[in-house]
Amino acid sequence: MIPNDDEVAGGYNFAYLDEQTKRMVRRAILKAVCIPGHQVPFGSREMPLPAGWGTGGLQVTASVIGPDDVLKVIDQGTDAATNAVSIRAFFRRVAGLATTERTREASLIQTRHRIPETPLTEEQILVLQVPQPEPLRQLVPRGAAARRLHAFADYGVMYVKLYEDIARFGRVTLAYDYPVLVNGRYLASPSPIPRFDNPKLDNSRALSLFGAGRERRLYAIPPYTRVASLDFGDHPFEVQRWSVGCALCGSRASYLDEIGSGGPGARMFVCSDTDYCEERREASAPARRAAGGGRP
Amino acid sequence: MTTAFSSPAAPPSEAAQRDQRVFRVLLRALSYPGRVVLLPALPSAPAPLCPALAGLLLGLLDLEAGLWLTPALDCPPIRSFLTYRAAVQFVATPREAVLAVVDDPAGLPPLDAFHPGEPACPERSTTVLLRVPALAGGPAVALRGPGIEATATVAPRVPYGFWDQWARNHARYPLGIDIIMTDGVGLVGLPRSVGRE
Repeated sequence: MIPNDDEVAGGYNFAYLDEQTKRMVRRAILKAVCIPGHQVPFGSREMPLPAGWGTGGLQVTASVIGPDDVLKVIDQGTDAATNAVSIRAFFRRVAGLATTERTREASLIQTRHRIPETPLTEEQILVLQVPQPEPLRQLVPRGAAARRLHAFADYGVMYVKLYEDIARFGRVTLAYDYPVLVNGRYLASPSPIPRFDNPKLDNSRALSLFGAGRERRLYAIPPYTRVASLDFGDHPFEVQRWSVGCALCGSRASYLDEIGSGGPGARMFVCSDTDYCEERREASAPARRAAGGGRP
Repeated sequence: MTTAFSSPAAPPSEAAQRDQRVFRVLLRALSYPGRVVLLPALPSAPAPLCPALAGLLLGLLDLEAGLWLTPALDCPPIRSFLTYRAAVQFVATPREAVLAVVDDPAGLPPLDAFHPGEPACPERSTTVLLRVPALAGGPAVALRGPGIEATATVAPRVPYGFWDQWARNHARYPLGIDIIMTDGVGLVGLPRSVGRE
């Protein structure tokens, strides 16, 4: 969807950030791509929304995007949640950008907490919003100490944490933000995506960029890069599984959200990725789509 | 809804649009090392600086990025062109450079003369923009690493011994320099993460 003129605000530089800032962010992004998984500091700017609402992703997107791009914004799998709606409106307003809700149509996808189920292509760039880029933060609170551990690739402390989980609970209890080793060298946070999504980062065809505005760090996972979720030989990494399929499209391959469905205690599981779910339902009911029952 | 600004959004200026396109080409070249990515049309620059190197520089330069020019390019017309178009801080040695520009592979200093970064801050390394006579026709080398699905074969015209130097550069990973090669038309990215097979 291309924004109409009254949607677009004048007086701003294209995509809000000034060109000087974009150059600085762009240099940081290029370095990040050359050192996969390494957190590169950047001069995070004040954005017109509070830190914690995706200012890092916003600045990465603003520095990368051009007038020919088509932007999709996802918040927890859906294009209709608050964060996605406001960021999409922001770029329509300050860049006059065309936006879409379809994964396949997007050239740039900014996302919070999910990676689309539809496999990405080499023509797409994924931008992830990251609240805490330092995977060691809970274990090594001091940034300087954590950077030293990264310099030595000394990640024993993280393995101890995972081991303690297994010793106490019989499994690793991290459901999201499950740490990964990128290109066999840097421990990185995949951002708070469910661990279900971790395998999608491994050898992805698309470039993934991670922006943390408050923490002033960005990092990258280039395409075709080994991304290993930490595990042990006798406790291999596993993703979440469900005993049911999506109540709407029947998919057994996608990440499901549990939602209430009317009556007391009634619940159902549906795809978290709304575009994927919609596409599957359209494919199975072409007649309904022809009759205008598809999405507006 | 009334807004403070009534005029429609100004489209990005020509220069800003060019910088963005050049950046995307760079990003693609470094994300998919070994592939030739075509540059957009770029305006001319004072000789002997070629439009490709000038376009790449103008897209990346500001006061925070110390620039080292190879002696062949370090002349008043080029200095004033860059100073006029961008904020530039010139540095005297390759070691201090965030960006280094070399217009002839024969004049390329040893790769370890550039800044390799620091163990906790490997991003402080030099990025070298290197003009080569051609991106094909030199010794063929198979590359492997992030951004390459299996292997990528490149054959830029580089001097004898370059690939041995590159192997040493790659062996220092995560330290090391990153090179962008251009023949004036296309780019090939050579991030430090990529090594000879």
